[in-house]
Amino acid sequence: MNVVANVADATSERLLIEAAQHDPSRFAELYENNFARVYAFVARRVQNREEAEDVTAEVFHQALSKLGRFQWRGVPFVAWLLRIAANALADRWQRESKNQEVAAEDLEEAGADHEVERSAMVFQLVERLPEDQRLVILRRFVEQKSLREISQELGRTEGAVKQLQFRALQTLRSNVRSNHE
Amino acid sequence: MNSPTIFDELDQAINQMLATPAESDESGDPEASQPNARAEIGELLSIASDLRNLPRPDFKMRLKAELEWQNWSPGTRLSLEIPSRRKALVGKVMPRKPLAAEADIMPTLSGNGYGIYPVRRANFAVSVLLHAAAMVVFVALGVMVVHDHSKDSIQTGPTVTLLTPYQPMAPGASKKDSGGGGGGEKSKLDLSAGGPPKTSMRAQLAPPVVILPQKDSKIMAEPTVVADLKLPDSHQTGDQLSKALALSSGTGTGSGVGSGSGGGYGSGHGRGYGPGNGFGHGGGEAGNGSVTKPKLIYSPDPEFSEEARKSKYQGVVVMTVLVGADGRIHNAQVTRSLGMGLDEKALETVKLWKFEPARASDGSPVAVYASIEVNFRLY
Repeated sequence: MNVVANVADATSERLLIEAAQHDPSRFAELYENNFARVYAFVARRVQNREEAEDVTAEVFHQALSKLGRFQWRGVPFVAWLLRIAANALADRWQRESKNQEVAAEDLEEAGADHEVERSAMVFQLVERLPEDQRLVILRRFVEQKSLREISQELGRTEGAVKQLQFRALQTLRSNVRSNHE
Repeated sequence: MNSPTIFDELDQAINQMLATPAESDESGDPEASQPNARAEIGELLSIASDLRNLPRPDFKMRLKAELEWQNWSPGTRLSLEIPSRRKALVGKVMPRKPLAAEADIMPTLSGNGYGIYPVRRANFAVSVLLHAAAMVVFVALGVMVVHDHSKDSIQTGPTVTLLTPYQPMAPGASKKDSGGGGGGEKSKLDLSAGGPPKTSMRAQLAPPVVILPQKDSKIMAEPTVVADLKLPDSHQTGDQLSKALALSSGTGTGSGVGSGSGGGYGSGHGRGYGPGNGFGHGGGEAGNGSVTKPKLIYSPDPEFSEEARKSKYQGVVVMTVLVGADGRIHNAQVTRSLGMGLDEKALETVKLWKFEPARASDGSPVAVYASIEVNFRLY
């Protein structure tokens, strides 16, 4: 069954790529399907969120401009995107004249990175959290606010916010597990 | 004393993790930083570690919007060679920051925008080009206006005036020929035989006559016609070709002799000699109004001389010109000089002028003399 499902997914992705090559507006679907993995791949290799967003944007702009040259060879589309990301990172590191050796190592393991997969999954699962939990996660990890600041902003007690943070992480963990299974 | 709850322990671990640099290996290993943490906290910290680089909620949407714009206008895609610019574009989207606290001053000036909505850098480029074009147009117009004004200020506003009535010339006559005259006593008889009267360019004191007045004048003046040519001497004024022997001053009017009018000699009008008009002599067309005036069709402006321009000297140069049958000026003489090189400038320029030539009654072009007034004026 898994083999059949994979073949169906591959066929679907191939059709989607061909559609996007003829009509670039269809690229949005490819973007939605692959954004989290590309961002996670980049985020694990840069030092801060701004740089991760910078490189991710560069990857998708390059992908869109080069989409006409993409040839389907049975490899998932995300592999092509991650290759662009690896090159972008290598270029960036080369420009900054540092971490060149690390870049080479990272490029080798760009294809199969389970941590990247999990991070991408976590990013996507955050969007499905209950609203109050999602707000706490965003304030805590994106804006890096303290629980006191969050409680004042949301009009809740610190204890309540602390519990929301705990519940949100629990929800994410259980969802990651269920997705892995 | 209350022991910390699992919520507190987790929050403390998260605080410690967030305070640790992301590239540090310890930050991703909760067991190492919290050796006594329970297994659940370790698992949750692992999830929290992934959340450290959680993208901003609006980043994905903004990037999608950028990509859609890139689709619509492929030529206006954002520059990827400048990562810092990209960072400014998609990174600074923190709405919680007041605008005054933004690192960039006037970010829209460089096409970055305030983060309220995605910005197309192409608009910035187009705007710059349009403004530059407008500037060029304004500057060019300004230069043209200044240039034209300065040109006007040192050049003339020439006025061409045919000051004197045009003087038709006899075909084949010399350049000095200028018309003829005529006269008579309304006699029934044609002008009797004889020779032409004496000629003189001085004022005519006595017109030519064939039949002398009965009363002797105390101051006798020899009859002349106003012309500048040599005529054969004759003891009696008359027509050399006439067969009439009886004395007669002719059928014309006035004090002259002939069939014209005025104090001249011949069939024309005026005090000249011949069938023309006015003073002088020649074979021009008989009668006024039968020759059209030359019409100026091309008249480039004369320039001020450097000397006159510096001195802001202005005035009028009057010239007498010969407008040929070809419409060009063949002879030009200054009759009222202005000096400071303006006479020469006027002469140089009027030689370039073109006229529609004067025409005789039969439509053929004829040469005429005319006076031209060239006005040098500083504006």
